[in-house]
Amino acid sequence: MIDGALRMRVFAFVALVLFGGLVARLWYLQGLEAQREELQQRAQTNVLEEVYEEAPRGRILDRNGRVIVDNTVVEVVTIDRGIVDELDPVERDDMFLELAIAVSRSGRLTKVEDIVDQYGDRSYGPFERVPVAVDVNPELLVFLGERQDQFPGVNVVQRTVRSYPYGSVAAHLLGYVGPITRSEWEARNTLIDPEAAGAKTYQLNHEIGKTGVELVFEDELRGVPGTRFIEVDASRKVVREYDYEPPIPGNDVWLSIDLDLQALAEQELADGLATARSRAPREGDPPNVASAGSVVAVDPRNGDLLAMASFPTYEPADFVNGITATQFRELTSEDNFSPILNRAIQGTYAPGSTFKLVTALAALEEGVLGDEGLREPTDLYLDTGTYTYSNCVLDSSTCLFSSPYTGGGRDVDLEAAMRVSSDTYFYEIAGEGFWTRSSEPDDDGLRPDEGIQLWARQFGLGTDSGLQIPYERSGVVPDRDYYDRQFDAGVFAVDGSQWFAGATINLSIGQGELLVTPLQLANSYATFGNGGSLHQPNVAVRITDPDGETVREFGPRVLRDLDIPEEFHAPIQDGLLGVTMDAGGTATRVFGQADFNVWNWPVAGKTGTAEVDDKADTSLFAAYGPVYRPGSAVGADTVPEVALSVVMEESGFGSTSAAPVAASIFEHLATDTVPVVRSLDETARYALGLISDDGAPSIAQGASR
Amino acid sequence: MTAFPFNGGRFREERDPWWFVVDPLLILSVMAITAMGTVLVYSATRGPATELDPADTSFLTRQVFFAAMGAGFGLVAALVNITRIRSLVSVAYIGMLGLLFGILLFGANINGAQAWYRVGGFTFQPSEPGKLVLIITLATVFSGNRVGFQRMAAGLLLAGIPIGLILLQPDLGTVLVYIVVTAVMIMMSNISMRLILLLVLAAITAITMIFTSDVLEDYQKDRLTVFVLDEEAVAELGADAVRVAYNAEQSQIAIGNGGLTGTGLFQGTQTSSNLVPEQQTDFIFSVAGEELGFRGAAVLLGLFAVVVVRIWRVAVRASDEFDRLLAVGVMSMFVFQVFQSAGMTMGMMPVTGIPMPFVSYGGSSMLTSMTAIGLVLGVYRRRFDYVRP
Repeated sequence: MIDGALRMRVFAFVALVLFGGLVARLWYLQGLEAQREELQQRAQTNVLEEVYEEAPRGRILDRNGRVIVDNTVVEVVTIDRGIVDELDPVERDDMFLELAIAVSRSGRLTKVEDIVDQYGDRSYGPFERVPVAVDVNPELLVFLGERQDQFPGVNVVQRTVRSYPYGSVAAHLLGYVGPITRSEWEARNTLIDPEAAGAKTYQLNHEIGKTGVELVFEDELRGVPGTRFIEVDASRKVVREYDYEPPIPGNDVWLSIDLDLQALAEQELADGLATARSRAPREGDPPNVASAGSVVAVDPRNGDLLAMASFPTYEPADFVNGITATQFRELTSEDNFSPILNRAIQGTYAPGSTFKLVTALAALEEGVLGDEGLREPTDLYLDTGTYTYSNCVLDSSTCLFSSPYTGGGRDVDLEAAMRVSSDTYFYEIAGEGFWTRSSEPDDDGLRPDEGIQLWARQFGLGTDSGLQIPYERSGVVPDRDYYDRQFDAGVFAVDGSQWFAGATINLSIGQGELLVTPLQLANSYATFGNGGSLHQPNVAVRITDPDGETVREFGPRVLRDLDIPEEFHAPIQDGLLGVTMDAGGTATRVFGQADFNVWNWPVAGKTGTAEVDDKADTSLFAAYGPVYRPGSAVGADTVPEVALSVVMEESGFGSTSAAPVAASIFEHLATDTVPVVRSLDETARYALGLISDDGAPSIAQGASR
Repeated sequence: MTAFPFNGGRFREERDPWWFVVDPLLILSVMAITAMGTVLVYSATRGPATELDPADTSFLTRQVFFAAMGAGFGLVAALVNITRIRSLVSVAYIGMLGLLFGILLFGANINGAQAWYRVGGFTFQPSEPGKLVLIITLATVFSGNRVGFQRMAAGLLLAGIPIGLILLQPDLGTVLVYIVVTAVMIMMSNISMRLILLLVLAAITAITMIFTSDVLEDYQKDRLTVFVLDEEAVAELGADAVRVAYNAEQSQIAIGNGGLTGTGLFQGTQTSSNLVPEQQTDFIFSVAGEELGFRGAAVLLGLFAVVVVRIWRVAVRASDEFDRLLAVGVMSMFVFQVFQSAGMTMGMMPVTGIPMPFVSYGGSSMLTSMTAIGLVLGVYRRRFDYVRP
């Protein structure tokens, strides 16, 4: 046994030896010249560089899971700045010229200036490969690969870009992506904690959604960029790769739209406009230009957007490889009717007679019609074709309101006034009904004589729908406050105190300053169709991660429930059904000519013809269906499944241009014959006889009807 | 009969000068180390310190606060009646186990280890004061008569439970401290050579088993071995091993960059560009190496050597077996922590982070180290007391 004191001494000895070891090692690192110089050299030169690799964006699918926006791999010619910087400037310019020739010869025309511009783009870091030509012929890979001495630092790499299997279908809704701008980059960076795990950081050469769904769901669609840490020395040469985090793809967005219905709506709209264009206007009227319009379909049961068509349209694929200024001017030019514009949410139109739904309900709700009002809704009113405001102070034509499109001399009740679209019936509601009421605000701050505006707002008019697609316009519900604001802004010459009887009377038939978007129109008919629930429309139904697991789901969002008693609902809906089904209905003939029996799938609708200064009328139709009607083939438990709005600029009567487009869409819905849309690839294979007419089982399974 | 020639049996005389009661050299060395450490923490955390982005002094002020509070703790530990501490040892031990167990349920995860409680704006690492509880517990168990197999086994069991809990966090560095402290205290106790040999054999078997079983995750084993491998062998172990090797290498570059005289305070390029990780805590010695150079870093190590030698001196003068083992435990703790934390930055030891006492940033470590010094000073103060029967 070793003595305790000795053990203590051994312990002290060991401790001191360890300290001696530390000092010896310290001397080895710091004191020995060779070792010290090597380490000092490395300390001066070694730097870690972080190189980012953009992740593939998530895909965009329709409600049935068909891929509308996909990613595809393209070949990209890149130049390695680290190597090209080292070249002699003359040599470099020669190489760029040779490269431009080689790329152009392979099929993608490329100017030397384009390459020089890209090479000088400072948004790329010094160790990044700068793309100079996108989507080139893969054969360039071999061509350039064999000539590395001639093209130092030039590579052909693969990159994923957006692809659109169905071409321009839903282009406006989808939006497009483009390189992030500096202001977007700064705005995004304030929202991102780059240290957080899975931060979706941006570099200045990365892509970002610019508009539409690509912008709204940017946070979901964007993946987590991969990072490559490389150690570089003083001469900026890569010493080694130190760490690599692979990119994580973005999430998929499932839209609420039905691809087939979307394609059908776009086709019918284009066809309808072509027909309207070919129709000669009446003598002295402006020509039917009929070059723009929109169709919107929503599900009244939950507010899902089913289709959103805008004409003219564009190819989102044009944006994939960057769009030129000329191209972009063409897309925004009014001479081309601004194809980039999504008229479904950015076009605002006077709704014309389609607004009578709101006026009629307002009259019933506010008591203008009924016991205390002008008459019961079932009482008859003689439509003489003109209406003169009774309390007129000036004996002039401004007090005479005529109905340009309906023959006079008929007795109409509310139902018939809707069916035949009697203007004078509604003029009287406005002039003798609402206008005679007090303009003093009540306890709720509402003016009794502004009841029509109140109910217009109840239906969601005058505010954006909450679809959340950017640049949506809110339209206008004109009233005294609006006049005041416009007067204060210097737009109007008169303020709210100058609001006059004629403004209310014009409003009753959807004319004057009233402006709605096609989406608002469809949504207001959906609201009435479902009994009064105003939904905030959904554009997406769910988000799934790259593994297909659902991350988020979007259910119905009810903005408000309107109180519409059955005795108010019934006469109006009867009138709307009469429009398409009964004798004298403004669209009865059109629906009679459609290739389906409307009694098997009743449609409640309303035509609209809105006057526009110096231009042909806006043709409108708004409707919902199927609706239970006694005597029809549908059961009493039927609830409307689709609400539709058709708006066609400079196209004439609602009954002649917009109603046929709607009738044709309803025909396909009612008879379950919405054509299955083929992707461009499938169309090509079909043309080559590779798949049969009833083939393409992968698509047929995905289709909803 | 005592196995050890205590300097006891003598009463303290009224005329004994004050430096018989305290050890001024020990206190001064600790103060010097703490002062150097505080400056180094500031250098590692002040940031670029430009006009637009002024120097960050938040770490500095907190470290000064910890040091002052630690001094208070040390004073109390030096003056407290030792019989009171000994009577509370079982309560402290159970409390430590409770805290270590609770941390697995409620602790905050920092850098991959669940080793901290978050209290207000501060974090508290119970495995740090746990070291002192372990030392006092083992000193209690091993003091008195001969340490036979049963008492050795009891000591091993008492050390094994907290070690297991800390391994679950997982905090490999702290586990190593506990193991080393336990091993040294057993060997320095009144134990036969035969049992020590048995223990060494058992330890070799245990190490072999740990490395061939999956008690440790692969990445933990890699970390323990990576410092002796060359670049290619490291690359084969995967991304984590490469990262660890990179950290170790950058730290050595930083120290080499300091040379004999250092780059000067706040002038270290490796330090200011954040190339070395955890620079204010586990890798703090690399800041000393780079900015103070060989001269400064060697002075720091020299001061630690003084502290260790002075604690050893206290140990051999202790009035009884408990006090001696208490000092021995503290000494082994400091020796290992300094060797490990400095050795890690120089590529001599594996990258398993533990703080350098008095130097690394952190309240738990500072309070624990200061209290440990206080306990040692208490031993020194009591050395004239009777040998307890």
